Amino acid sequence: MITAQNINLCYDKKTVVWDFDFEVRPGEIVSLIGPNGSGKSTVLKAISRLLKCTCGTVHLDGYDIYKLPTREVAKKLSILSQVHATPPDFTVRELVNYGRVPHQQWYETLNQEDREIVAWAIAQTRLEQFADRTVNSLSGGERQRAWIALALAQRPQVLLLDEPTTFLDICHQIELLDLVKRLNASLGLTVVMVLHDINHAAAYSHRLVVIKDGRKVAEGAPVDVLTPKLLSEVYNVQAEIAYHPKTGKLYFHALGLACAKKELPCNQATA
Amino acid sequence: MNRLLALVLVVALAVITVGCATQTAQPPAVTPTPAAATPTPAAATPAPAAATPAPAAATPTPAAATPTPSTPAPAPSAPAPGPSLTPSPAPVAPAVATLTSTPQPAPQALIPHVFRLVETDGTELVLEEIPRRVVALSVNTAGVLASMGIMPVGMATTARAHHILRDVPQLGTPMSPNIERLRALRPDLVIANIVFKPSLAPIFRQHGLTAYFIDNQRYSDVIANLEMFGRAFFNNADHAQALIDHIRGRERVALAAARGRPQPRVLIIFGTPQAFMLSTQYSYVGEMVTMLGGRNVTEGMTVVRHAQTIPLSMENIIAFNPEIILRISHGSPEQVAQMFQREFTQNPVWGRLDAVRNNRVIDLPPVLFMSNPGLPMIDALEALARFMYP
Amino acid sequence: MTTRSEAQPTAAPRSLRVVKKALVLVLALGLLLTAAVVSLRFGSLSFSTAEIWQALFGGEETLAKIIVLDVRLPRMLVALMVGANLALSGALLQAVMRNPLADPGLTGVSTGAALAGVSIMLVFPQWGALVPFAAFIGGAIACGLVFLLAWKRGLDPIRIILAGVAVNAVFGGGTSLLSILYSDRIQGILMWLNGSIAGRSWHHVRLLAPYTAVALVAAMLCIKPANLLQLGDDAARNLGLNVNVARTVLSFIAAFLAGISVSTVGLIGFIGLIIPHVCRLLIGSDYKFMLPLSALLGSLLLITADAAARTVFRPVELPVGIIMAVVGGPFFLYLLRKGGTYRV
Repeated sequence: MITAQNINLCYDKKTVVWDFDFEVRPGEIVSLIGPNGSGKSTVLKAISRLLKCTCGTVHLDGYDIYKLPTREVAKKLSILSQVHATPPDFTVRELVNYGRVPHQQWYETLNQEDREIVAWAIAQTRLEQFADRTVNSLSGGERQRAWIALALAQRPQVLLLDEPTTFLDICHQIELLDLVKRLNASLGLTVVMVLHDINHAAAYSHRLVVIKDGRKVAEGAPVDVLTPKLLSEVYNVQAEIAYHPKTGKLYFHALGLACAKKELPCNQATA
Repeated sequence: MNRLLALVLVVALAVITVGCATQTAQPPAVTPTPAAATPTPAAATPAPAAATPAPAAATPTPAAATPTPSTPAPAPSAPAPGPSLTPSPAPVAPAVATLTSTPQPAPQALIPHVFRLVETDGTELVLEEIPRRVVALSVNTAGVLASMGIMPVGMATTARAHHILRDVPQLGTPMSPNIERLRALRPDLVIANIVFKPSLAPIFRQHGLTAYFIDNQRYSDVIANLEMFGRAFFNNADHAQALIDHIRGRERVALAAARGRPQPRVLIIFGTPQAFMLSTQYSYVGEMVTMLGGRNVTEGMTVVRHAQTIPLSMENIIAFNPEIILRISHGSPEQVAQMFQREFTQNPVWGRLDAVRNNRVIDLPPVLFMSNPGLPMIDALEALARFMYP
Repeated sequence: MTTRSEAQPTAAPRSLRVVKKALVLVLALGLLLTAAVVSLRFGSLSFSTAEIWQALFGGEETLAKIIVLDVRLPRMLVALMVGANLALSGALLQAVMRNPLADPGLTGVSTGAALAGVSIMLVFPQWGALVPFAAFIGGAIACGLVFLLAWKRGLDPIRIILAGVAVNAVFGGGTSLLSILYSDRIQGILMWLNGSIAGRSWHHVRLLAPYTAVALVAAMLCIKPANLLQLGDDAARNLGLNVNVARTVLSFIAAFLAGISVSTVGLIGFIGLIIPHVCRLLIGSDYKFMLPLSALLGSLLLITADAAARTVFRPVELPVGIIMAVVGGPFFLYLLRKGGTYRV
């Protein structure tokens, strides 16, 4: 689906991601985890062509993503950023309508099929009753779902989510992640997301990619990747990994900092 | 034009030579105390010198200059009028009305050490001594002073200065002169334009400069100023009067052209075709047009009292239907004419005006008409009379 | 015009919104046409309606006919075009900058045009015929400079604004310098500096019309990118918009709209900033509705203001920009306080 080879990324002159290889297979949920500033979101931007690599390549379905017309990419892939700017008077439906833009010519307006797809996207995200309310009048979780509906209306094969749960309370976090999982299961939608919560990442992903200081540290199924050793190396946290007695899912519990040098910032402790 | 320059030059030379001659030749007769400053009796003498070149001023520069040294026969009584000047002392135009309100010149001979100038807003400037180092931040006034024999020590920067002012240091714009250079000249009087009084007065006060703010934009202002300077400086009222009389004489001839003729409707355009305003009867050119019997489109229409230029509606211009259009623009008259011609052909409205139909559109040379040039304004008036009554 | 496909209702409240918006547009169009006709009635000379009627349809060469057909009508048409242009320019720039305070002046167009225009009128008055052309070039240079300075791997709104402030300061300083150096000539150009439609004739209508037609069409083609830019750069890119290209094209069209206006009538501020705001308050921020409404209301405002400029202090003309600032400012404040669906 997506293959990134040997990519280097920098902001201004400062390189933040080095020699990163990455692959996403169709139909899987992959989570990128790592400490703050490790380059997770940067990688996500690179594989969604929002940020151009200084070197290396990103392929989408075998085509170089930077050479594909950006509108073609928009039909296959959708990325949701952390922060959204919604014009204050846009309703949910008006916002979701924009998801159809990549499928229209510049002179075209919504046709019946577009309208149906928009209605479908709204139904998928369970926003029917809010469809004609303004986005800004909704709660944070509903707003996030509205933007996911916009992404769904693009009918993408890959959905990239940049910290989709950040501003949500725990209920809305679970609700959102369940939605992602459901979409993945029912539509076969490939999902790549950046998550902060390791337990969420473990519970909802087929595969994890761990990044630290712009380099890939580990990759694989949650069970294989999440070890106390890795958590100590990457996050400088002493942790206990266990399987929940009821769900059988892996979870971790932080016991404290691995390194006692408290005056050092967390992500420099092992550098 | 040339004639007038020559006149100014001659008058100035005459005054200077006479002034020097009297200063060196004979000690002041009336005032015993300040020896140098007050050569009172000299004031009477230049009158004939100024009067002679007037009729044909273009050529006789040396001729006019020669008689002056011979004349300084001390006139014993100061207030005597210039003897050889034929014109009557009665002023013709109403323009002098403002200045006659100041006290008559007679008592000045008795207290010559008091120097007195009055601003149009009523502010009075009284000095114990007659200033000797004068800076004129108005080019027009610098010229007027020079022709009275009072050479300023500094003036505003200009490209149009008369050549007798060639060596006078130029100090920047009239609006914001270079204060450092101004102070370095150690003037005992700074004459600035009254328009800039609000901004300049506090600065001058701060620097301890004595300032007089002059109103010299209109024709009548220049005559009023001449009279006032004549009384104030060197007590040379008669000398100033001679200049005034000369101007009045030519003025009468110019005005005679208008007598008995129908009063034309006149439109005075100031600016470029892209953005112009109309000069009112209170402006320099507007006043002269009124003197010559023209009816200005702006008469009775000013919203701001005594505004010199107003943006009048095109509709009123059409309704007024001027018979003569006078255009004042910076830039060479030919090019401006061309430019207006284009506007006039592009905008059919102009073509309906009598002035355009009868080809009575005149581009006034900016040197004389852009702003008041000082004494050469009489040339402007004469030219205007010729334009209006060909 | 663009409302056709939207007007087919599927859900009641949604169709209501669209109908309401369409109604606002129709109402604005009606108001504009009314104002356009009524404005012919007003001027520094008063004519009766009968005289005006005769002027428009009678064959006789009356004073009223000359004034209505050759003075007021071209003025009204110039105001119509310039008002629409400036409002569209402001609306597009607010999308480009994603900043409600953006106005055509921000791109340097106005100050660049002012400096070029003023230097010709003051220093080289003999080339006065070149003022519109020079003003346009000056505006284009200043605008190009702003975008050149702001460009750094793409156009960032904040950098555009900062570059705009800097370029405006330099060009504005140049204009001030000239007006001080040539203070004796300044009266002649005051009207232009404050924006005036006085004295604009059929010649200017003919000059402006083709450019305006092109620019209007171009502006209407910008509806989709403008809407996408409102969603933020990342979202717009995600939806397949080349954000840098869109910013550049929109800015160019906006600068062109402002440039042709400034070069014909001088500096008229206010419309470009206020009208898009008013439109957002009235009809929402969807450019599909907002952009046409901006054009309509921009024309409406300028026609009305110009009629007032030649009437209020008749027979003296006021620069129309002053009228707009005096009347439009309070009206805008009222709208802001009253609020609407759109809150700033």
